[in-house]
Amino acid sequence: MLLWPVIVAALFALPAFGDGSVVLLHQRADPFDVTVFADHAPLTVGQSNLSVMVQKAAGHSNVPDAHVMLRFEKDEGGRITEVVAPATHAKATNKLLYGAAITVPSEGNWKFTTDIDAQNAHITVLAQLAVGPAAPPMKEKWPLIVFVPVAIVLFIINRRLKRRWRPTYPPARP
Amino acid sequence: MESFGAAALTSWDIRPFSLALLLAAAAVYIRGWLRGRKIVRGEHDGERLTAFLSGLLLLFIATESPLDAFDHFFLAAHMAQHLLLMMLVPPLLLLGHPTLPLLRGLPKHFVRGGLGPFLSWPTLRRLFRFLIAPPVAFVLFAFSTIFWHLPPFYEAALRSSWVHGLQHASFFWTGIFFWWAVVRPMPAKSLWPEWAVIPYLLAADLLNTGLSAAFVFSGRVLYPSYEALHASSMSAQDDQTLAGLIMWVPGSLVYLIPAFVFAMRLLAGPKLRKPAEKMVRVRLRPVVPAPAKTAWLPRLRRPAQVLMLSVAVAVMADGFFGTQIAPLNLAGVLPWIYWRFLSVVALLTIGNLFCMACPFMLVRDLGRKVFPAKLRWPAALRNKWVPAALLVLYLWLYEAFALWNSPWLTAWIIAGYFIAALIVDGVFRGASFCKYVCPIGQFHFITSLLSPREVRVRNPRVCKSCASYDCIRGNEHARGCELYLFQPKKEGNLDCTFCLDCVKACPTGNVAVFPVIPAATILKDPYRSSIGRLSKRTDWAVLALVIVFGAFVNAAAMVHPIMMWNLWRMAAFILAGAALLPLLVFTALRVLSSSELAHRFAFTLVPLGSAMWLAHLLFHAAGPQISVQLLILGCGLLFTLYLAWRIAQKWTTLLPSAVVACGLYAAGVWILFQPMQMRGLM
Repeated sequence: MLLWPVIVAALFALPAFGDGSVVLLHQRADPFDVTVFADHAPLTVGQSNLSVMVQKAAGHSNVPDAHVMLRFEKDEGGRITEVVAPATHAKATNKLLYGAAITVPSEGNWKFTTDIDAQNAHITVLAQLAVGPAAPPMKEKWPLIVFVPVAIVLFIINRRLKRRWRPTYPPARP
Repeated sequence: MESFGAAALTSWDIRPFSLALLLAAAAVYIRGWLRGRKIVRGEHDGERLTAFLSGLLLLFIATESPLDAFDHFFLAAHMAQHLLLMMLVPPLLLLGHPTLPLLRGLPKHFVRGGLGPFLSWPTLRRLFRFLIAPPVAFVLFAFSTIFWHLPPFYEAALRSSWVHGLQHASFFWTGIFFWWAVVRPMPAKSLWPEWAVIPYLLAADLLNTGLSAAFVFSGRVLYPSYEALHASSMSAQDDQTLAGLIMWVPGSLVYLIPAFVFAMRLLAGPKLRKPAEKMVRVRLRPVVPAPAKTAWLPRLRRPAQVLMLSVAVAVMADGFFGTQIAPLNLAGVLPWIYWRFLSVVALLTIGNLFCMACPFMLVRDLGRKVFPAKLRWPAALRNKWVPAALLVLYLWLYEAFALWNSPWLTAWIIAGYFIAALIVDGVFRGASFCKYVCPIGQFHFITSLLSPREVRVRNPRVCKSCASYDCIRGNEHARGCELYLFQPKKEGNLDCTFCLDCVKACPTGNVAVFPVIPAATILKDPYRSSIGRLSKRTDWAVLALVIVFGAFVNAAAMVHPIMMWNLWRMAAFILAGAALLPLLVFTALRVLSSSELAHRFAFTLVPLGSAMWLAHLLFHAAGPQISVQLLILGCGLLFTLYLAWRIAQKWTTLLPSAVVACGLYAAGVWILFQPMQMRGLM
């Protein structure tokens, strides 16, 4: 009787999670409203998935055919480090957005620029973003490690239950 | 993107892992459903199957469709997703009466030995009965519905994927508990009278109506995130009203329709009520395990060998005469990247296919027409010490001479292999090269302990009446086993090259390829033809340990901190890791347990070693796949621990080998998390 919830729990735990995008910045730059999302905030060293929503400032309708370029710049003792990536619909799950995977190489304060070309208008949105140290890999992948001790604990319980379990038979008829 | 509508229709986020899990659930159910129909056929079987699969389909739509991609932007999309998770997916899954089909669909041993004790655990049964009791289920359902729609908690779910996951999981699970009382899936007994379902559903509808009305008539935006985003020309207030209407109208129908059906059934009176389902018992036929249909397999060997020989010649030609840039040369890519990976995959999923198609043996067979091969392999060398040493040598050469980066050396190694096979088997009888020299063969022999196929006899009684022993002696149709494996005494895949000469030679057709439980042979220690008892064969045990530890050493040599070491330090590392450490571990196991157990524990580490080889080679073949690699390694450890436990039978006896396995696993996890050198690819 208990089997199927166990199976379904195991099977469906993962797909239940949403994408949980967080708003990194939201600015009005006439004639557009620009919102930038990240898969985690604050940003950390390593790869981050960024997505941009471009809307008309008047009416908030989405701008579908924009060219969006994301740029991170940092002055490191006179040497400028720059990371550039085009954001496209193809790289976004939600096709209203323009997505890009960007790898930020070092921590610190980065100048973040979003360049948008659309409907004969060119706008640039500027922001300063603090990038934190790289998250330890274990932080993200811990479920893939934890399942081992969990399975071992379940096995130990299984053995104990088996040892304790005695089949009960109905009393023999005289 | 042309329009909002087009964007909405194309925003699918299909995660392969989720899809695989849903398909696995469907496969298990269908398998169990088909098995069930072989025993009893009910008139609603088809409806149940449809209901369960529809439930899975709606779950897929709720979690992978544009509803999921848009839930952060539109409350209406999020509400539709919640409606599916709470009100449609749970009852549909339950209408599939999934308990028996899912139990039947899983492997019998797993259900009996693995799940059985949990299913009959009184504490767990009491807890489950408590959760599905109608008052408790209703309170949980109502609490979950109200709690997650309170603005602070709803906003928290929008900000964090973990909280969002928790929200969806609680909707789904409280939905299951709630609908259990309504659907009463078999074989559960009904806890309350049937009429109680009507007020139960009406109360739920009242709750739903209240909440929907709050969305529609609140007059203010309840969730500021949607207002801040303002993702379309539709205002957040309108979006909220639409969400409320979705919850109100279709949501209410989900409660009212079953309430109406129950009411009609009760009003119809006992005589007009639906009769109990007619069940037809199907006559059971005795189940005879079907032999594997492998008569065509021996005929496949020669073409496979010719194909592999052509590939080997092409690789050598490119290695000798082609560009010496490894990633652009067949010799730099095929043997070191793809062949190693594919041969491990073949071993774990089918069997020892590479030895079967070995091109060296084709050349050797041709050479046998010239060379006499009259001598027997020296008695002192009839063991696995030489190939074990060759394996360690290979691991060192691979790093010291960067073989992966030298097509020319790779071509020479392949050519050397051909020459060695010709000389050894040209002088010595049988397949001495395969049995006592070839390090690749030994790797395949050890890894094939985990293969799901084995060459063995169909019926041992037929062999008892056999006087010709063609399987080992050979006849006019085929030669006998060149590795001296006498089929009636053969156990497992050790020393078997899958040449299938025995299959061809057996006059009664009593030898064939059969499916077996992977690694089951490790749990036994019978006398094995041409090998003896594994618990007495130190050379075999050390060979297995070299291959296991070699997996970790080989991978570690490619990660950043170790890759930077100089030649001597690297040589010392490989010698210590692949030769001295296995010997040390073996000695320690002998001291801490017993000689017999130490030998047998060595083989239990093979799943972990194979998992490490697979995880490492997957990186080179398919790029970084850290999640899959960790999953493979974890499964390898669990398999190893299970085998060791089965042999030890006591926790205290298990401890030494468990410590070794866990230590290796920790090392493997560390290696996988390090930046690894991608070899053979630009």
